[in-house]
Amino acid sequence: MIVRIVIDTERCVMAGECVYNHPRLFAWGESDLPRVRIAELHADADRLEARQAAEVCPSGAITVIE
Amino acid sequence: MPGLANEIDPREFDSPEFQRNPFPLYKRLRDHHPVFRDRFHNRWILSRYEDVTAAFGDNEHFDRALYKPDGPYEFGSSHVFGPNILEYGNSDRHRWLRNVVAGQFVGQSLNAFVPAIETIVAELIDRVGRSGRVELVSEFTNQFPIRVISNMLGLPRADEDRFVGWYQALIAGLGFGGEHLARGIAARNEMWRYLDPLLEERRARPADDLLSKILQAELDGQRMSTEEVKGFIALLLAAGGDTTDKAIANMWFHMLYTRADQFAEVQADPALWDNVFTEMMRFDPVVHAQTRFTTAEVVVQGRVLPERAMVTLSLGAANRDERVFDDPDTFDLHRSDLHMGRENRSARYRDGLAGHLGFGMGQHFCMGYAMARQEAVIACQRLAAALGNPRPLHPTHEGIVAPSIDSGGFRAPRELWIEFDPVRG
Repeated sequence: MIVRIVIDTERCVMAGECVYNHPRLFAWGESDLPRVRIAELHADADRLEARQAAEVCPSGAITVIE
Repeated sequence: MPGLANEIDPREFDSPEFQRNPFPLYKRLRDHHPVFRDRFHNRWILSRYEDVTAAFGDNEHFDRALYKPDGPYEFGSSHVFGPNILEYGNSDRHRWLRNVVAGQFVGQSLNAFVPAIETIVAELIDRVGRSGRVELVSEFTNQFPIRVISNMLGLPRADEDRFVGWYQALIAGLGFGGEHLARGIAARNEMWRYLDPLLEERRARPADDLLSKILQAELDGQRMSTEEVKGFIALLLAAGGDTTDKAIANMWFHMLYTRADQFAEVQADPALWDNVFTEMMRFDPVVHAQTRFTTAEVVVQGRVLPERAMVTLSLGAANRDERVFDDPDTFDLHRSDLHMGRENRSARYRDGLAGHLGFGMGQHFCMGYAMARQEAVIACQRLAAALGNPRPLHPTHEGIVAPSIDSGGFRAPRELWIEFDPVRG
């Protein structure tokens, strides 16, 4: 099973929750928008963190695709 | 002597005048001493919006806790709460502890909790009764958020009154020291003894509540120690209770006394309570200062702060920075230069406007930002609708006060008497 994170940059409000809470998975990218640092998530810990990031994203811009 | 008028005597920070009205001194700091070396309290103070936001955003140089040169953090041991999440600085452990609970306070989890918030508001409004007057602080704001958070934790509702009592003793201990501190510690110990069997029970039989979630969370196969769990609970009771408690009191204070003229608008359009919340968080937030420690030499406004220096980030001063906000000393629900919507950890907004710093920003941005707003706005809307024609009982008020603002004292009115027409059956 491939697990990936997708950020909807139209919905993103640049709150930074993902970058601050999960720096291993997210970083600031261009135009003050976050970007995903790991293309495919294999470790359980990463998958858990990705789901946590989706949960706290204030604009609902993060989706974890499994 | 000419030229000395703008000098600041650090003892001014301990004066009753400053605790009552810190804003004139904040302005002197911003205008004349944007990087103030306070030798008396052995710290530095930053007060301009630009510098405070830069420091909040710079984890590399500004840490929440004092690190030891050889590695781990030096924990403050005198804390009423015992060890807790706030003191883990910029570490992975801090992030992990926060992520265990952060999801509870935003998005779907928060929405799912709104009915419980509504129930508790309705119960308290019922208690306020029909006498035609209410002392809002003791009868409502002191009671409300603490009941919400204990409900969220999954503490037995039958024991809620006891929690309110412990909570009040705890926060008095935080704010005033002395005999209050002794009472606060006694209340904490009593609460912890009460919690012991409850923690055991939830460990054995997890329920669908925050307490069980905290108990079950693991990092690298390790769970939180019992001391850590208790510290976490005490922190949530205070951070999730006290701040929102005082935010609601401040919102009403501003509507009754600071801008009674704008209150009529809010009564006509209750959605404006969101703006009351936002502008209150800028104008005179519950928390005025945050402490950081430099991890290396750092230059601010051309001055060098040494390594391991204590730095007060005066967000109360930054929020009044005339370099960012027009006419900053006026409370205005329709500010065009303030981001009025929900706050961000990054303090950057798509509308390009500046945000208030009442929740801090960056690594230690308030975890409960969404819940605080939600609770405060619902509480104010329901109260305003239930109390007929609410108005101040007294024509004048001593104003918003706080013990030791710049060492974390929370600002709020001591009492707030409201008179109203008893309209309900």
